[in-house]
Amino acid sequence: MNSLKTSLRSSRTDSGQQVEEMLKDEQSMLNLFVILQKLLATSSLDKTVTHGGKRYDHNIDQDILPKRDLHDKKVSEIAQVLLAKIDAQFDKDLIQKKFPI
Amino acid sequence: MLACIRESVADLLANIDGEYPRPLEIEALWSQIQLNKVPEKWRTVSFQTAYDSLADYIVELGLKLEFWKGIVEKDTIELTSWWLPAFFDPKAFLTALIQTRARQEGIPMKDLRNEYEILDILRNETPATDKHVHYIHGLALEGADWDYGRKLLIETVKT
Repeated sequence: MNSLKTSLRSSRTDSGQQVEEMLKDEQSMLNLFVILQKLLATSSLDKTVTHGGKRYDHNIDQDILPKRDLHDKKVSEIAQVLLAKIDAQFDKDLIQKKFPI
Repeated sequence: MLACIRESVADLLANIDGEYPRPLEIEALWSQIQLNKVPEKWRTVSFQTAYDSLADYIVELGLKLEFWKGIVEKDTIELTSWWLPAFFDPKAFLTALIQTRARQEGIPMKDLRNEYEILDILRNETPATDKHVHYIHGLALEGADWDYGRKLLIETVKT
């Protein structure tokens, strides 16, 4: 027989502490998503700003437009960092070598 | 799953850079992220989770990625304990243990089964000395408690 030994612990985990730890790392996925969340609220992906996706035809005289463009640029930068972070998670060659299909 | 998240981020990048008009599903996905919710598209390819908030989900994802990186980069013999919830299908892992032994020793799978023992320690810290013994952790009880003295399930005493 195979034998499995385990321990039981409370289902309550200190996720608040884990969140704080990850937020300390500026390049952590959590931090990058948090930044994206904030920026998206005033980016061209925000429906209330874009009015159905017409980016420049409507509300061109509003103050929010330069801010939206700035935030679009920042979203783009953060998304690129996030992509690089995801790509760096695993060494695909090592996976192929260790777990050949 | 990581590929699905990557695709969502790549879509965001392409749309925000104006490479092509954004489809409604991309808007919907990033609206869910703005609301701190786990996007439905991710859930369909995700591990099982009790979390609804995106922040908790990303924390859990980070911990699971760390566990899997350890599996990829180190020898599994050095592994002191398997984190069961890190598997997409924990039951399949338990079946794989039986399957591995069945193949190694030419025993029919129907003649093998896993036996379980609950330990008093929170988590095992040394590799198993018997090749047929595996340590697992990360299990939790809901609606019951474990009596360490008598080694049995009891009525929950927590409020």
